[in-house]
Amino acid sequence: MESLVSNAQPPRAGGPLAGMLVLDFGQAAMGPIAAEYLGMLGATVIKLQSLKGDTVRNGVPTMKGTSTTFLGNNLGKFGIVVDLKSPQGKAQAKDLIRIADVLIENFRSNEVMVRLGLGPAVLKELNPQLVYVSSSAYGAGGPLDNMRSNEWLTEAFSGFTSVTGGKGQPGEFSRGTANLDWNGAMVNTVALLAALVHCGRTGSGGATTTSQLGSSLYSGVTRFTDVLAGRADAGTLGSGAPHIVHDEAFQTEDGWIAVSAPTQRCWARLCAALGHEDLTADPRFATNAARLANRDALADRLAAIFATTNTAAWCERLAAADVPHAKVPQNMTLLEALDSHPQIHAEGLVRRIPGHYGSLSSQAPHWRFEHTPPAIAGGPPLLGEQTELVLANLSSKATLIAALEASRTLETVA
Amino acid sequence: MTAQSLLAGLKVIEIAEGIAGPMAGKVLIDLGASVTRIEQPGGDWLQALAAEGETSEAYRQLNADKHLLSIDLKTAAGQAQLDALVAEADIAIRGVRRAKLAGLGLAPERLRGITPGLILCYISGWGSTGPMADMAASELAVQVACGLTRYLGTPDTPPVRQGFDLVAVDTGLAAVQAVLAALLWRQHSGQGQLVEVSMLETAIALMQWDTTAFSGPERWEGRQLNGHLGPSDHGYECADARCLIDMRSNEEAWPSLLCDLGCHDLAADPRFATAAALDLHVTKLPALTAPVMRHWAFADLEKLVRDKYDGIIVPMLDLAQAVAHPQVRHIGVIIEGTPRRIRFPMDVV
Repeated sequence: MESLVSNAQPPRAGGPLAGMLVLDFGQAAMGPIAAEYLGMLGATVIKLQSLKGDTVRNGVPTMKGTSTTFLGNNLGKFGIVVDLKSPQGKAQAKDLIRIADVLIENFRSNEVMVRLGLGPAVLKELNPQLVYVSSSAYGAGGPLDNMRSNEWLTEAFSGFTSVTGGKGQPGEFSRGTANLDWNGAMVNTVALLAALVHCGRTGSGGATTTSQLGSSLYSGVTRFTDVLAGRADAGTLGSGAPHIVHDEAFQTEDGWIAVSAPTQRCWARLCAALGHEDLTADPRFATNAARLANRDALADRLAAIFATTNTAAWCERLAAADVPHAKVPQNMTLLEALDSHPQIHAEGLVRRIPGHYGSLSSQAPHWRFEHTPPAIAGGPPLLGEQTELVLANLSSKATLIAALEASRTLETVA
Repeated sequence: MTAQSLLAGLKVIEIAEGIAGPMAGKVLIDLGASVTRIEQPGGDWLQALAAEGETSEAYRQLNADKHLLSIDLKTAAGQAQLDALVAEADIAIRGVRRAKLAGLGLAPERLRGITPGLILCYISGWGSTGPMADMAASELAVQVACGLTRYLGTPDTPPVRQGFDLVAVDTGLAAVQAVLAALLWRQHSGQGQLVEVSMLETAIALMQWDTTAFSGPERWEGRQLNGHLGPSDHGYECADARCLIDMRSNEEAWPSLLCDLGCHDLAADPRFATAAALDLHVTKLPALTAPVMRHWAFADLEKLVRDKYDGIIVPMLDLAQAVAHPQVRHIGVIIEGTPRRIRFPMDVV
């Protein structure tokens, strides 16, 4: 852990979205993470929670009693508690909406905000420039409207599990990761930014919708292409890919190595690095189409070759040959695996973010900007930490942002 | 006003092959931008990835509706064509590795000399600085390096990848985030800038749930520190489908549901008696209920779980079933045509 690059951040107020005010009405992942990304890009983000707090506060594992999922999804935000079901809370929310640039929520149905008296028409009247993304589970209306979604429901429903699994085995869930939740947040962030760009050019904001179902299908765009063209899909392929041969993990003398040869030149370089240039001359393996047709025969040949020496030796040869590859980490925790990766380590891509709940390991912002460097401004807020400060500074956006940003303390500023 | 016209009027140049870069162009085109794609002699490697006599559907999907120009950037005429495009452009996306840049005229200083407000986006595999800068990357290699494959399969079987190209696709999304944020900044500063994304950094972002969970928390329960969670989770296998049952809105009902299913011994098992215990043990139920589950038809199971217990049950759909599902058709993200296409899943109310 100590070996992770410590968090040397550029000063605040540098991001491209500095001066923007974002309201996060979200729960769990898809809404809050998108708001968190806007925060990394420089916006001031206020997270509204009910007295009970976000639904994911209570999961495991925890730090100081709060789930790391909640903590990780709400870095750098300011926290207020508002009861949206009470007249007073609704009035407070409306005061915030009047001065905000962005509102994002991911209630399961688009109708929840309408029922709260904060539907698109009300928001538009309060603030015509507000960019509002309503990120539901399965989209607006339809037979599944109002059904809950989460990582695993969307893995099942989007077809993801049908193409994930051991070769020829039944599809499986990715129980230890939540990549489709995060992908949904990536989609939501694009949606918010596109609407903001449009608002900047035309002066009008407005309500838009996204969904976890739609986002998950979109994340599979390359894999869906065969069925969209009326062809059969290849199903589960282990570590293999439907159209590239070879692009797969092979067992070495002491572990596994992932190797990809997506282009014809790369295939030739791979064969040279393996010391088996004869493979390129074999008509069964001459083109990617031929290799696709003879996938199993080639896999047998390559497996026999990779078994002859250890992973480190193969990595060295494949790096020299400019062939995409990676060692499959073994007997390491995730953080050990990330930290021992030369590029992740040297570039400080996993950081420690200090805060009320302790030091959290986290991604670095996943973009680089020449003039407006993004940053993670601090840890997650306590429940209702800035309620009073926010309510005392609602006269204008500039006033509120100045008050909030000035309140970051050494303990919370990363 | 539709989501498909949010970025109308925006002019984008795309010089990229494979998935991540062309995906960025696709997202921008789905949102209404105009994208000119420059292909150099030899075309895009993605085109060749198809069976004998077929075209690459991934290539067609990612590059549909782009204005395609074949330009040899190593010639003076090619450079003049490029310059004319850059003079009109708001955004240029470059996925070409530096090793292959020589003589292509794509250096930022040169392009900005033509259009000072240009937003230039570099997309790379491992990053453009650091010990692995500019090395060749792939979806699989980055998934493996960042832990996306960590919990799939079992410790004694070969590695398994996530079946969607999540890293490359989301790198395209990350690139769009960067260029749109840079556009917002340009709206008030008047300045363009260079922005960069990489498959590596995107993959680490996708793993944030795990990265934060391993911070050193006080209470380790549920997910384990090391590798696999145990057996792979293939869902519940009933008579005619595999499915997922989610009772999170009514977890106390599990014992009663298990009784109805015919698993009387499990109904009395303390591992499935309380919400807290279920949190740790619920993933064991598919294997434990397998002997009775195979006698249930999905329709009957659905009725029981949904109507009697207010639980959620969804079939594990294959890709063709997902595309044909009434809800998917309802939300309109699949555009009819030849071939059908998936559009950016955003709508204006």
